Amino acid sequence: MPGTLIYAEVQKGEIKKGSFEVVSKAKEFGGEVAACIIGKGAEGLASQLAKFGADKIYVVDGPEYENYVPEAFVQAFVQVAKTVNPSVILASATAQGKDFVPAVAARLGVGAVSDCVDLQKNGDKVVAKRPVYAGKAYAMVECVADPQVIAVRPNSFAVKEAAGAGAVEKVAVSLDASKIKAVVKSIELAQTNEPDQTEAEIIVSGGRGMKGPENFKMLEDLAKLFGPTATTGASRAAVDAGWRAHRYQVGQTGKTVSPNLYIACGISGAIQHLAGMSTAKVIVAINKDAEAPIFTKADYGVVDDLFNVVPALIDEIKKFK
Amino acid sequence: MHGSGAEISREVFWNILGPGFPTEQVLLYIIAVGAFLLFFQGLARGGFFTRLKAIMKAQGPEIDRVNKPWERFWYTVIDVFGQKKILREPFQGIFHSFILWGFIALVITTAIVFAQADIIWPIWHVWFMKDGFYLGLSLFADVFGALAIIGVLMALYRRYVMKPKWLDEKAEDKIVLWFILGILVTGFVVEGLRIQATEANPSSPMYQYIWTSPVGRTMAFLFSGMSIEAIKGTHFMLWWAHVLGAFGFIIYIAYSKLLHIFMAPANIFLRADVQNPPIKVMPPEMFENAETFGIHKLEEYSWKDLFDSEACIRCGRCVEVCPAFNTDKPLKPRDVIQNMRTYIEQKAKFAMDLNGNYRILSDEEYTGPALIGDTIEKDTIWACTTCMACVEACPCYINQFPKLIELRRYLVMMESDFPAEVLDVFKGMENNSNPWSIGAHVRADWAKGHDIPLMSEKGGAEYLFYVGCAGAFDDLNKKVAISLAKIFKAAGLDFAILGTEEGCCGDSAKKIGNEYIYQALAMANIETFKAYNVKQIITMCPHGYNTLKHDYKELGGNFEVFHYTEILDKLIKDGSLKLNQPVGDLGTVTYHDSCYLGRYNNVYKQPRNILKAAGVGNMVEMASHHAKSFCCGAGGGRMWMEEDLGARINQTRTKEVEAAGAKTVCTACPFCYTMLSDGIKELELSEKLQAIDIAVLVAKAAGIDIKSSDADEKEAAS
Amino acid sequence: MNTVVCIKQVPDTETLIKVQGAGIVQDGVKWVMNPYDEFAVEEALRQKEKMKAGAVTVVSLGPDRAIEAIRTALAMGADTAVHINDAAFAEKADPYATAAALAAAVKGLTYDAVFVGKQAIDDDAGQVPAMLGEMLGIPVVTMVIKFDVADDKSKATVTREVEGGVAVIEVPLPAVFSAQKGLNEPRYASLPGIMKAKKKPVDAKTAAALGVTEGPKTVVKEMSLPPARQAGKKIAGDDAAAKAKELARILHEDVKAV
Repeated sequence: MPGTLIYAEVQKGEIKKGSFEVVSKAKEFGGEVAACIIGKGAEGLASQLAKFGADKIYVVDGPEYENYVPEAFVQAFVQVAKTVNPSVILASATAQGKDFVPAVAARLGVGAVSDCVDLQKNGDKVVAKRPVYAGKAYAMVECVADPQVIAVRPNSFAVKEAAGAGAVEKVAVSLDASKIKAVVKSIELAQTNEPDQTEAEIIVSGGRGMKGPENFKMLEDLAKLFGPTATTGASRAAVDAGWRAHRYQVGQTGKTVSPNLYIACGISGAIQHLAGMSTAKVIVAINKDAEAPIFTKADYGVVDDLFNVVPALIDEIKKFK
Repeated sequence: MHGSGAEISREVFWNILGPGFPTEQVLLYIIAVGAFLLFFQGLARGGFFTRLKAIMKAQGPEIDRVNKPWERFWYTVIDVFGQKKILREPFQGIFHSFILWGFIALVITTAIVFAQADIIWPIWHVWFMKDGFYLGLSLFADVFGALAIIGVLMALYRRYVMKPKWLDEKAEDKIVLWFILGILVTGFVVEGLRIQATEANPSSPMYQYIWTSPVGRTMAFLFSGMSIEAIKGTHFMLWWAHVLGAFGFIIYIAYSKLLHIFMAPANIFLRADVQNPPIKVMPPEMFENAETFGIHKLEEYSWKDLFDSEACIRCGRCVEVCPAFNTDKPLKPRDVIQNMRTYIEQKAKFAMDLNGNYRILSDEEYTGPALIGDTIEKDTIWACTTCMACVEACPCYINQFPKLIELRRYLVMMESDFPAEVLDVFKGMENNSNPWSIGAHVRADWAKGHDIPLMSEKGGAEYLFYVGCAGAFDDLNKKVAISLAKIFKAAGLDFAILGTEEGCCGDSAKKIGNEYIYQALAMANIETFKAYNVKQIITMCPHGYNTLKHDYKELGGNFEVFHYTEILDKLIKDGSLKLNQPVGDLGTVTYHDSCYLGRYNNVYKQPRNILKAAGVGNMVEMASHHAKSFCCGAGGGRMWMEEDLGARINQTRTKEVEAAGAKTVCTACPFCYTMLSDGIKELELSEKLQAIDIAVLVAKAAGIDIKSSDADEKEAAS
Repeated sequence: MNTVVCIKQVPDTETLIKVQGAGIVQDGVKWVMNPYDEFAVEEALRQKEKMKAGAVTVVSLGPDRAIEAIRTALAMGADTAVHINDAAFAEKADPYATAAALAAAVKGLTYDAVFVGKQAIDDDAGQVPAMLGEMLGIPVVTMVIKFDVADDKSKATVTREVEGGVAVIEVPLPAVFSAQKGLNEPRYASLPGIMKAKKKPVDAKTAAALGVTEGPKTVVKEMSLPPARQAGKKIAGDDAAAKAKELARILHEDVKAV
């Protein structure tokens, strides 16, 4: 019975939240929900997928999967996909997902739909809604043939627990090593426990109005109060000024984010920035310039000096704890 | 003996010539001829002829600077003898004028004495230097000689005590002054000695007129105790010292900045005859044919550009007024010119062949120091705001900053070498016809809901209101655009805007050196203007004003262009616009002259008239205003560049506002408006100061509400 | 080093996007070279300049107007270009079909590396680099922010952006590299460059001439504009502290973020 196959991504020994999100969405579609998890030590994580409704979990485990090596992962996944023969393949459009999904589609000889924010089932077809032109328009896209390969932007769907058979099957994959040509020499990750901006549920972001790198400490403090799913971001102005590393940048040339709450501090709201965060569910803007364009997009606006508002906000939120 | 016969006169060569053959007089002629020969040798040794060869080899555009020769001549005479530009600076002006007038008076006197004693008397035995004429001449020479001494003393005081920071210091600067002082003082001492020995005797027929030589007479008292022999001995020695000094002075002219005695008037004669400093026109067809654009080697300048460096006397007036220098940026217009002069000689060493011919070396052949980088640094090139204060200040009519624009042109168009942040400006202009890179389709959004006539709907109008990018895209300046449109409507002016058909005027592109983009933008606008048969244009921005008015002509766009202050001034005067509503408490008001309005186009009084008509109350001028107004820092494309070096120009200007005791600074330029508003914010002076554009103020005074849209008004009326 | 750069002409980021059916209204759109492709062109030029040998070939799929983007790349310094211009693709080429067409054109060229922008800013799909590599049968490294090539051109050592940091990858050539912001600062074409670009050879090719048979694998059914986001409420208060208090209450009670 052709159903949905999900690529479950493992990072730092954990399954990405976005992968659970697509499992939950697949459950809504009906049919069998299978997942394929690839990684060193993936076997131990497989059962988590059942909690959200995976009926079948294919595990590709081995030391060769410690780091993401595109060719190896694609080979493994394609072998599983060919066995499962699903009608839909879903993955989370994380940094890795964006690299992985089109390669998988091409090897399967089908098209792919990237970075979707909503999916609707229309008969056998999944109609994917995705922002185009930097969020200035939405396109409804369908795949011509099965499997329909679709990557979904993190935070697009809620994670819901659901019953799933959760049968775990360890798959022995025979990799064609001659094709694995790219070698990972080293990986350097920022020492942080913060979630990536693309996946964070809450982002406290700062712009030119922050006046200097030292003041971002205040935003970090505020983000911490919201718990582990919160992080900080920055506008291009703050990054170009050298106050924050590029990985913090939200906007057209930085990261595109869809958090539940986006707090913009001292960000005027240039179109390039709005392109990166306009799909946030709730936007709060703090800026002393009442004319700043960010206020036209914000659900809640505070016109005042952020250097007075943010510390007071931190104190007030602490009171709720 | 000379002077025979005339009682009311004096004996020329008194105490110098013995009886018989006038040995000393002949000696004097020989020395004079020698001095003139040494003068020319000095010119050669000082590299003057070498530089002249290089100047004559200049490959830049042929420009005619000897057209209308009589007009040029009279202008030069008036400027030089009247010290027109020099006197704009009181202290320097006075001392220089004193020295110059003294010098001229003494030269005239000497010439008369020479004519009398060495030509007319020996040949015709006529003595005209007597009686009233002689007494007048004596008084004339004495008074102007005294003025010259005062002038030199003032100059010395400035060199030794005042020492303004913009003045540079070379040995010759002091030598020249002491030299002149020495000649003048010995002259008066010699006169004093002669008077003591001759006219001071009550039996002398000259005794009753002795005070027609007031300085000489006073000097004579000093020697009243001396014996006649001592006086004669001293007089003889000092006379020769004075004469030799004077001839030495002539020789020294060739070696020193004194050469400006000739070069400055020459450059005044050869000045550009338009007010706008000429930036070389690049004909559009040039882009298809030329191999290189802008200037990166000396000979690509015009001969006049190179000749400018001969006229520069290092007075430093250009430095004094330069906003870049005054905020510690590495630009001193004087040094740009002086470095060019040194470089001309430096390069000549490479370029001159054995026969003394100046050859143009190709980039490969030439291995010496480069013009860009070695002679004029890139930071210098980019520091200029094109405010024109240097050109305006220069008493020798040197065009300093246009030379830098040529270098920018080379850097931008040939090397793509410009401040990184400018890239977005160019792309914005190319893709969206505005430097902010905002979508071209929102250019007319500011006008929404205000019922402002559109050219495309109206088909034509008496005036085109050319809003410009700032008025169309910048939130602060949209208020100005709305104010103006509503004022024009209230005054019943027949006007329309182009809406989204309008394009960027291109001024910033041009001044940054991107003539290619500038011309593309300009041509597009000219075509649109012509399509609507536009004759008269009102601009909101002085940069657009200057560009449309002057620069578009070079591309075939002939329109009558007004800045909005000119129009408002006229509308107020003819009664079409009534300003009878209170403008609120503005406190003391000052007006900031925009460079492109004032210095570039002489619009000084209209903005001030308007402010008075609007009833702003107490008005003051800042320390620098009118032709000496200090730039806001945004011209020349600097609006779009980071200001990493030195203090911020806009803050420096804002401090001038504060120092003037003003509470409100009025602007008539969107760049100035932005820069001063930012300056006030940056210096955290918002409680004490405000910037406001004149148009916004006028709207208020006319009782026009710029906030409510016309739709609201109609609703309220119904 | 011989390189191929695949570029796409896209609407300028500031252009007004009006939708019509399954596409956008093209009238009044200002077209530019995809900004990420500029990084790709720049890197190819820098490699050529560093090695002091080789040629840079630009390949682009697009209608007649795409020649403008191609000329821009040539003005920056690319040597030759292939313009795949075929009505069959008009507005229907999805990433798969695009990759297939590009791959067909690239196959006929000599190259050590293929550079391409990480995504085009029109459809924002970011699939072409990976698919192109698949179709050419060569390795792909996406999101490259630093590129170094061995002197013998046998391999490249590149730094790519990964989640939360960077990874250094060594890959044998030829390979496909997708350029991310940070790789370099693209140059501004000099005026002589612009003039010379007008005379550089551009090879126009149809799909048939290239032997492309694959069609699109995804279809855009409809385009829509996002609902206009209304300005929300301004939080009132006497001072910053009062506003902060009210905001905290909203975040707690309404947004439930705390």
